[in-house]
Amino acid sequence: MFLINTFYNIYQYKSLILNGIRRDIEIKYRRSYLGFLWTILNPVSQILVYFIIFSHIMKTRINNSDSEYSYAIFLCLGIIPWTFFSELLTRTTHVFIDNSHLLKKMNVPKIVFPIICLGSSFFNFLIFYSLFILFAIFTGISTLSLILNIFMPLFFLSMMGLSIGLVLALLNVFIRDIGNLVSIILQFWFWLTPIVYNINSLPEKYQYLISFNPITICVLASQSAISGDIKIDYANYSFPLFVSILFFIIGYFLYMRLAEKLSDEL
Amino acid sequence: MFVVQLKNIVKEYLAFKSQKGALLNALFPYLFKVKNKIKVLDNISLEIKKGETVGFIGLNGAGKSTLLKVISGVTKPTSGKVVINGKFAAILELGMGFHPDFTGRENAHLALKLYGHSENIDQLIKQVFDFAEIGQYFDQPVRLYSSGMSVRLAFSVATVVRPELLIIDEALSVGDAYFQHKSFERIKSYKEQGSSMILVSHDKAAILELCDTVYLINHGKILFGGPAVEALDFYNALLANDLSDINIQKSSLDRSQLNSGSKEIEIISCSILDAMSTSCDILETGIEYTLKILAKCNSRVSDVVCGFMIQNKYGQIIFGTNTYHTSNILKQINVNDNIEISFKFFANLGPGDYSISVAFHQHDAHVSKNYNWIDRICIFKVINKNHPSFIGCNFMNIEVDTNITSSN
Repeated sequence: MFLINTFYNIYQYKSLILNGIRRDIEIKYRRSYLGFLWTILNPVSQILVYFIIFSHIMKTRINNSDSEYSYAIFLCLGIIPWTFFSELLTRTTHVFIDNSHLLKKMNVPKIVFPIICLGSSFFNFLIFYSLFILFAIFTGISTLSLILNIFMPLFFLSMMGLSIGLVLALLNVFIRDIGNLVSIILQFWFWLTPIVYNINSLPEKYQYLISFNPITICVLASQSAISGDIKIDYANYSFPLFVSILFFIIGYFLYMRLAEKLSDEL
Repeated sequence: MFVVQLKNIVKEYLAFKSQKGALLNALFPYLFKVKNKIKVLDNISLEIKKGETVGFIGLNGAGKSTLLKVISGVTKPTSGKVVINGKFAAILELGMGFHPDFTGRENAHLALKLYGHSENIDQLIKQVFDFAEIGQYFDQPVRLYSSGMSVRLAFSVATVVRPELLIIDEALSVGDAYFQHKSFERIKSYKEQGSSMILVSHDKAAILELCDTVYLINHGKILFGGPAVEALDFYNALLANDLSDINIQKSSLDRSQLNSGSKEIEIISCSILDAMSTSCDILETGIEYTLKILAKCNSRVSDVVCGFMIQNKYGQIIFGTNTYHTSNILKQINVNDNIEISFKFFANLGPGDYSISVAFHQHDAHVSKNYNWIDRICIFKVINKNHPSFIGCNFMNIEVDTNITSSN
């Protein structure tokens, strides 16, 4: 019942959610000359740096490729989904505290705020990934495979980011250490995910360990557009699926218990 | 038909030793119990009918704002039931969380959606713009707004669609006189159209003018609920006294007469005397009278001030002063001394019913030390016999001069 109600709330407040997403995007370039351009300039510079450094200066390539841009593409295919996930998780963790001024004065279903985080993080991802595709076209890589390979990772990263984020966000209202802890954990998590290195270059026992990281499979699936050596099976997603469901259940339980008490604690 | 129904509302804030305790209690309330509880609302039950305007008054920290938060659903009561029939809009604080970097228009947009409006937003925005009358500032960032402009915007947004229940916490008092009038007018017209209203204000005039019923809240309990005039008298007494010092007597006019104070000095009688020194309760406009107050001293006190206040039948203060301002402070009074004080005045009042309240206290205001305060100790009527007819509660002795100049 409560679950249906929660989803109905999301539907009911859809225009508020859309408005919130727009604000999240707009607020970044308020009071600046270049405005919306900033939303594009940041990812462009990041992609440009990777392409220049790893193709022309360090001349890094992944094992089986003869393209000079292969490593830059490999890196982007890992970094962009990761950025989406870590941004979603960080923002969701702080979302209730950041919106305390509204939560304390208006009776709005609390669930809309994490959904807004998902929306604006997704928007940033879209920009980042589209720009990356524009760069990648010139390297001769198949655009279609870049697009097709991102759907499943994106879906599971959203589910995990949102459900883990919701759990942390609710706890963070009571124990603020969690917010600080998240940024540290994300740093370790980044290096425990095969983003900058190839999973095959690790000793076998570490490969096994890293496969327990639910992000690993998402990143590998995304990277498979360039490193064709890894076969992704739907069965491989069972672990991220398990993590999503587990945290969804925990988050749901916490939300049921804590949502009403947030305005007193903020 | 009730718009709001509160049944035995209790709101407790729990005092935790650590944040971990707060979390564990929130998660498993039966396993992790808390001993230290602060009761902010204590068993409040009330009903608000359709079209009724209700005021909440009380000292700071009495629980008024918490009660509004409970009614508007921002916070949940610890126990008890809140039933609300119909759409409501609440202005719980100034600005309502407007984002300083966004323009008034953009903030209004979000606020309308927060209030649950999803259709005809553009049209509503236009109406907000028209009502707020902040001109070009509407498209400027809110950080440039004065507090008055924020109030204008907040009020306009909250009331752009007539809600069945409007909840206003202190917001009205900040706007300028023009906007206060304008918002009063809107509130009144919504009231006529059947909206109910809840008002928290320290502005007595607003409470008197708008509220049908006023609840006096003290330490989370409803101390008094009834007509605005009586509730305000009670509140006034509460400002100066402990609860134990206050007693209410039903006076002959079936309006409660409040007698409060620590009684070091006790008022015995108060009367209005005419030129012949006979007591009267019908005064003639423009004639001189004397207000004579007799009191008895029960224990030695110093620096005593006696004051009186004339109110019209709506409870508005027409005139009031005390012997502190007239430099007639009674330096020293001994036990069993009798005190007699006379105020001579011209009854420059318009026709109507008035009341006089009298008080003995220390220093300028009755809040510092109140010996005895009696509300409406005498009631009198003013009639106009000798002067040209006029309206209003103040008499100005005017002379008229007319002159017509022909233009040819």
